[in-house]
Amino acid sequence: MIEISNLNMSLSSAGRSVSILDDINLKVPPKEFLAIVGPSGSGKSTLLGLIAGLDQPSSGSIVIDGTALSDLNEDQLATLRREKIGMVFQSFHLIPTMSALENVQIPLELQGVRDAGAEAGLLMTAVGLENRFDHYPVQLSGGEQQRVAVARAYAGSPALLLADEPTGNLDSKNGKRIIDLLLKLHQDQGNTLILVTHDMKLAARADRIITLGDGKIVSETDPR
Amino acid sequence: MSQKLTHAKNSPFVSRMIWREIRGAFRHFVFFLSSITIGVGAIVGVGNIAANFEAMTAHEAKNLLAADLEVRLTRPLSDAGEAVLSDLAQKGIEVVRVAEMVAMASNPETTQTQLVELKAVEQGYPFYGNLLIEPPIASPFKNENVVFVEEGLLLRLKLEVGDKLGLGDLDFTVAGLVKKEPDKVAGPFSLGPRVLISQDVLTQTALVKVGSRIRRRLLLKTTALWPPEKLKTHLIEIWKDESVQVKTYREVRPRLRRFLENFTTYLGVVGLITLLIGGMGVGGNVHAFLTERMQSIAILKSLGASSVSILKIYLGLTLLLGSVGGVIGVALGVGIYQILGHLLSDFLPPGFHFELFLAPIFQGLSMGLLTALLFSIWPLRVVGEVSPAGVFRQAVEGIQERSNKGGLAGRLCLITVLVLAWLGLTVWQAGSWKLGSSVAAGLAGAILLLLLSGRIMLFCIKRMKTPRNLSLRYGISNLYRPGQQVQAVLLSLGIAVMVLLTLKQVEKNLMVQLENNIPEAAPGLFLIDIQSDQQEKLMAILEKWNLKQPTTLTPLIRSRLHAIEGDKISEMSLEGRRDRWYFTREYVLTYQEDLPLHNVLARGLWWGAEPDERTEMLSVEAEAAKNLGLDLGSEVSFDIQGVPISGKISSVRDVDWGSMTTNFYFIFPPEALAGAPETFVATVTADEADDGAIQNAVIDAFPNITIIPIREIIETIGRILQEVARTVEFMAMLAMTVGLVVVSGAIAATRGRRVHELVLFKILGATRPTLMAMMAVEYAILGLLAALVGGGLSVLSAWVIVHYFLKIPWQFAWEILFLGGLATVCLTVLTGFFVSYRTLGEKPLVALRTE
Repeated sequence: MIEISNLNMSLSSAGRSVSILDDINLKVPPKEFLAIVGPSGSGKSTLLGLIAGLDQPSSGSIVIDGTALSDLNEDQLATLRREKIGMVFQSFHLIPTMSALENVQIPLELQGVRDAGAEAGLLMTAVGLENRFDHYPVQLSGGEQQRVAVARAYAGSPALLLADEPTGNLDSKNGKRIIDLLLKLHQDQGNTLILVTHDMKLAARADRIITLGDGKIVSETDPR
Repeated sequence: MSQKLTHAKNSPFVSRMIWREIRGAFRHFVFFLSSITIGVGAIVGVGNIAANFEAMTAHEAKNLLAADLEVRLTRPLSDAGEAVLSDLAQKGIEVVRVAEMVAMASNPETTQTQLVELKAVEQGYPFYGNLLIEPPIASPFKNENVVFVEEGLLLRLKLEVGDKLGLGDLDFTVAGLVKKEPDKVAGPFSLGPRVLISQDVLTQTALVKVGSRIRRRLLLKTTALWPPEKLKTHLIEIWKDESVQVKTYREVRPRLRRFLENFTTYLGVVGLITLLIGGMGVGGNVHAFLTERMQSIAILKSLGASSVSILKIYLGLTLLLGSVGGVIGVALGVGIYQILGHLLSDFLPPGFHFELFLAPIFQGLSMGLLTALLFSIWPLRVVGEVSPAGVFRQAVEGIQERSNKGGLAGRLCLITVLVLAWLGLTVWQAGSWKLGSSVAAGLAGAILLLLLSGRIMLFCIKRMKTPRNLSLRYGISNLYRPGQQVQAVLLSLGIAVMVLLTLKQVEKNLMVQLENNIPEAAPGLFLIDIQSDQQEKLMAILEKWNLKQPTTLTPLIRSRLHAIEGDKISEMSLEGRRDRWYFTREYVLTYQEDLPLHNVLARGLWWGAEPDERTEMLSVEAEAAKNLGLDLGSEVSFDIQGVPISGKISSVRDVDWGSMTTNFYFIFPPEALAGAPETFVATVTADEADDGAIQNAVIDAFPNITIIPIREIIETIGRILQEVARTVEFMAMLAMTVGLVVVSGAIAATRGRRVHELVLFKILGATRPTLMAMMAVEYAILGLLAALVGGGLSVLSAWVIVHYFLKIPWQFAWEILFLGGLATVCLTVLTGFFVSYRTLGEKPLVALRTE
């Protein structure tokens, strides 16, 4: 369960304070598929980043499974991400000096999994990349890179998956393939999925949609 | 707009762009500036020290000799030779006789003694230069019972001007202090303080006996009719039967000056290496900067800027930075030269005032600028080869991978020009073609070996089984990171490590040699000039002390080579021969029944029991035999004060000259030299506390005997060695510092990629300790590789120096390699952390947002 209360985030730009998120209150129950939509600059990615503990909010709190992120230092936040959170980004963010398989291995190794290589291999196979183990990111297509990123996000079966416009850099065919993959893994593993997207058709597949505008939740809908 | 940019040779565009680049990316240039600054500092510092030494020793060459011409006598002139002197006087040529020897001086009140360097001169000395005596005396060397001494002697013997000083068997009045002496270059090599006396006084003392070691010289002041070179030719001709060496003031290079010249040249070479490493840093920095600027260059090109105008921007930037780095380097160089001056203070006369010379400053500035230019040209060449479309397609790749234009011939041509230009710089700094080209060749060899061994190691690491440990795997994979300057780091840090560890190993070998030569019961005193009739009484005196080893007297007979296989040395053509010294030097002969310690028979047999055969026998040292062309059976004849004596080589010995014992080139059987005029030397091994009392008792009984305190000499040699070593180490540390600056620059160049990766690791759940371990592994591997290649090459270079130049036994100093390697790894890790610790604190979301 994720509980977000009175969350505010502002950044200073050219000496002025710019509000990015304004009094966000949100609860996400376990196993829910939540879609966050809204125009560019509405604060979607910032909200996702704060949920992942990648930055500190200006005020308010985020509580994940009873743990307030504000109580954790940077290393404790890293440990929380390692144990509970997987992330997929629009621009893939693979480590260029490591092979595809090694990229998937990293979170497993950080968790201390003994046979990280074999487990990463299973994940790579699950995303249809059984022939790309030793390829480096630069040798893969965009769609393949994003599949590696999905496999990496699911490594260690995190309870929470955060996907930030995962199809933004892909053509429609590859984009659909990635979403199908994310949803299949979400259903198979039963984790919470929060997806940031511009694509309303995609959002319509979620359990719930919240719309952000100028840093505020402007609407909340149940597409079903 | 496009029109404007195309015609940008009207410079406002170029200069404005240079200003924009500096304003926008100053932090990039910190490493560029540091690399050049330290290199220029090293060159300016050493150059100024060299110039000061040069000024000290060379400005007044005549003053150094105190005459126009010097004649060294290796034995007294014959009557005919003396007659020439009268002839010279008639030609208006003035002559002063000088005799120098080591002697014992004493305080007659306390009987305390001190080894001194005695110099006897005649009225008229010196012809040139300033002999400063305090209080001033009009004619100091008239026949009066007075001496002039260096202040240090009075302090040691607790005397004052006006007190009595014992020399030989007479006491003299100390009439003044020698404050400045023209033909003595102050240095650490002297055996004791100076005592100046007149020639007439010297003959009164009992110091000059048969066989005494006296260095006799004639100083001549020439006339317009007889200039120095003409007189030299004349004297060599008419004194061809005498044993003389004639030099004009232009040819005189005192040992200290020679040493300082060699030493400062050596320091200059280390300075040059520092600049070379800095140059590599500049090259890496420019490469990294241009990689980052590829997008901007591509945009400028697509807007219509020509390759020439873009090249002008970055060339102008390089020259500007080279100049700024050079100017800061001059300031640093002034500091470095003050430190070097302090480190080498023992080599300078007291009260010596340093001057700042403009020539080394100009040289340092020019070399800095040229180095910056030379090392920038290679990376800058790609500016013209950039294809905007290619850059836009592959924005993240490095320059090297992209630049396939230009052609092999063009590149080889550029490389040749750069190598020749660097050779020119090396020759300029080294001061001679021969040394410059040897240094350049040595450096080129070292660079090739470093590159080759670096590549082999990287290849092996790549082929190794991937380690399971994440930090280790990440650290290793980073060696192959795009844009990573592993080769540049290995080369620059490797050279620095090589220089530093070579010096440390050579120093260690020298120190080991020095210590090994001091036996467990090292003799404390070395007694020379003992006369035959003094033997018994001397032994009786020595018996009063509890000696650790019995004292033995070794006979010495002074001689010269007369003939080899019947060919007279005086009739041989030896001028210009490298081995001339072996033929013309004075030989100190001895006779001994048994083969001496530290001598090993290489060929032949030691004397047998047959008396008839023995008188014919003669043993020679191997190196002398080689230089004189002697072998078993060769007949050698010596001239002992006019009496010829000959023998046939019956054995050849290998001698350990480093052993602290008396060693000889030629040894006869005892009966062969019976009746020859001889003196004796002896070593005394007693408790250190008794040395002073023994010294005083011997001098009291025999004023002519000179006692050399061996312990003090060894301490002095050790001190000089350490002083020299400290200075060279200081210079090598500068090279190491630049090496680390290059490491910092290389790490900083990949900062953007590092931040990106660290943030990803954080997102995936890596804690700071994990990230730090990853960084540590990467930097440690870099340091370890540099230590391995640099350390490996240092063993080779140190071995070459020790084996071929110093000719002492090689000792592998593994502890230096281990500690040096460890220090390199630690310093690289620390430097890496220093440059990149801020990346650890980056907030992931902020970093991702700014991408």
